[in-house]
Amino acid sequence: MKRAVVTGLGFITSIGNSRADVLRSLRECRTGVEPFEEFSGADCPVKLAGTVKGFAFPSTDPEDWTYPGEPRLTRTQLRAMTPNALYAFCAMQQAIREARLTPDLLSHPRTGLMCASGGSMWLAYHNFHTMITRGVARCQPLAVVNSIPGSLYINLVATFGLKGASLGCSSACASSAHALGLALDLIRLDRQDIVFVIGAEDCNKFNILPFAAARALSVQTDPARTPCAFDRNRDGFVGTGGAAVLVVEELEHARRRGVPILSEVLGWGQASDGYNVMIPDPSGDGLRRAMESALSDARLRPDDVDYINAHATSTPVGDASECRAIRAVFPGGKLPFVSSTKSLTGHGLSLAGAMEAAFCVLALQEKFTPVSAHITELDPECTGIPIVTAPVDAAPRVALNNASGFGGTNVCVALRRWDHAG
Amino acid sequence: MALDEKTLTDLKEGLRRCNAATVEAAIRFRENGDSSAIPTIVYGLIERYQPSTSTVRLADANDETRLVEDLGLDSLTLLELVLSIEEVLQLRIENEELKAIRTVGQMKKFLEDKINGARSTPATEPYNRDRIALVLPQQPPFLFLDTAELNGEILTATYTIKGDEFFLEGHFRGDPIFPASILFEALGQAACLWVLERGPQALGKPIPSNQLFFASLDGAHVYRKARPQERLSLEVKLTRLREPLAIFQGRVTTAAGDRVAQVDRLVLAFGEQLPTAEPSPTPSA
Repeated sequence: MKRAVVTGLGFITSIGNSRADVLRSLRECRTGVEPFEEFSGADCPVKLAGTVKGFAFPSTDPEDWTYPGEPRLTRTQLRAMTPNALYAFCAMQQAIREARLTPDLLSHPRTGLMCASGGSMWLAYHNFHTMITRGVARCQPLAVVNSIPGSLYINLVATFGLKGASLGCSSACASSAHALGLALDLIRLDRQDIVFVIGAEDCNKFNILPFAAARALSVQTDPARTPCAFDRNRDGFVGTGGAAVLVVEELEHARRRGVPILSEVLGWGQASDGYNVMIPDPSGDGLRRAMESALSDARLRPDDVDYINAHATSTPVGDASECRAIRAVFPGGKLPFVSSTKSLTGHGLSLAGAMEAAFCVLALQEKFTPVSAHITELDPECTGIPIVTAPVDAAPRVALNNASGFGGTNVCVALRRWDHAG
Repeated sequence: MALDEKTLTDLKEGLRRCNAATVEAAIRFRENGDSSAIPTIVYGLIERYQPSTSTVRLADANDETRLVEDLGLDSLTLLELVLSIEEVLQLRIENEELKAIRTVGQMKKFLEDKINGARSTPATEPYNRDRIALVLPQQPPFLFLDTAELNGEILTATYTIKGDEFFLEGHFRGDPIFPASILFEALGQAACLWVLERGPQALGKPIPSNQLFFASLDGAHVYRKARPQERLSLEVKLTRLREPLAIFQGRVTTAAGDRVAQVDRLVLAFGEQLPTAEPSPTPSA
């Protein structure tokens, strides 16, 4: 079976729009969360978001949007885009540069993408509003493209001229973790040489505030205190958007090109709770089986694992259930360090899996263990689990990245530092 | 006629990436129906959508310049252009019509013809039952128009009583007679078809089919029984259209021309804000 490595990363996140900025934020525990203007008003109980900096979407007309950097998109490229696709376009540029992909290699039958986005609720709402209030004949010709969750892969495949596999994954907050797992399988089965893994989400009231109805969002107003995964007083997650990209490449292909290897994707597992549409199984059983499946797939023993980037969104139920899953997988002996980077970024929904896998790549390559921010009083549920409440001097070699979504879908991906020994 | 504030705002918003001359021409067209404004509007909108990569600049274009091959509009951009033209000129360009438009000149001529033609209100293609069902909210088994034809303010329609209409089983048992109430329903459906097809153009705003309702009926008379296998001819004629009401006269005859029914005043109400009380009859109606 072929092996897969990561050769490029791209970030448009609340904690930075470049590898260097994201790395600094993770090392220095800088939050990307701040009061969000869209949430102002007395009728909105939620005030904070992990805002994406450097972009503006003042109207639904893409020609009004602003975004950083080069190259600029043409009107015909931009007109079918969503905010999440535009974030992804910018993150893709970084990943393509880092992986040194030439135009030939980018637009190649053996280069594809696996991506994930919940779609742009905002534009879908706008388009339906036009249809209902102004008539079917008044809708923009491309309205259907930016109204569906598939708009992310649709835009990226067309804009970058991709010729290989293309798929949008839809498994709520596990979506882009699934995308990474599927990309790994495509490489291992020799179906593709390079697969972009992309997670992206809008960052606005339309895709974040619906979670307020489920009382899943933090109503704290101080970004120095929330989100606080694993803290006894956590009160929900803080939403974020943006995009993250990993270039997953077949090992020998990467070696032949002489491109620097950032880390290896060792294996993955997935399992479902079969329990409830929204509430995770309190026993953590589904996530436990996903983690065990990933370890087995990666041919790792539990004590090989140095670090777990937990799904931990800072909801009371979710974090506790994940603690039970971790305790079940690592019943004794050495437990890996555990942290939730969502306490800095906010929860990126479909973006989360890819973003946090990319954080794991940084942690493995740069030899640091990310901190789980804003913990003042550790939840007793975490007893016995080494949650990283303050910086530790530990350079992980093997990391697991957990992701869980509505309906009790669970994914775990195993990554290993690339130390040239192969 | 000066445009109301909202119409003007919407018009300007739709044209905000166009040059000032285009906006000025669009306002002139909408206020006075001045068809000499059309070329300026068409050029202005093409300019707004033309990609920077196209080989021919609009300034160098003539009537033979092709929209796709020369000006570089792809088929989706062409649809964006068409949508903007439809919004500004308040008309609908059908798919079949669009296929015949390839050059700047054809576009200008088509629009001028369409706008001038719309004023002389030519007879249009007859509607069959399927096409009627696409427009009307009333659906089988409660659709009582088989064919329809629009001609200015008159809509003529036919309905053949099939004999298997569900209500004939009880109206009356063993003696099927087409109910009088359904005769007036059929006239009401004919009036609905006129409002949905002609109303938006006449009023300059959409009329959603789920916001159109029966309001009242005056001077309704039935002269003769109608039985299965008879082919009824229906005619409604608009007497007045003013938001939120459309007022018609209507009559039903047999194929041989015998009077079946008549109504002096059939009122439909439309829009989100329906009148709460029945409107009082106007002496002129």
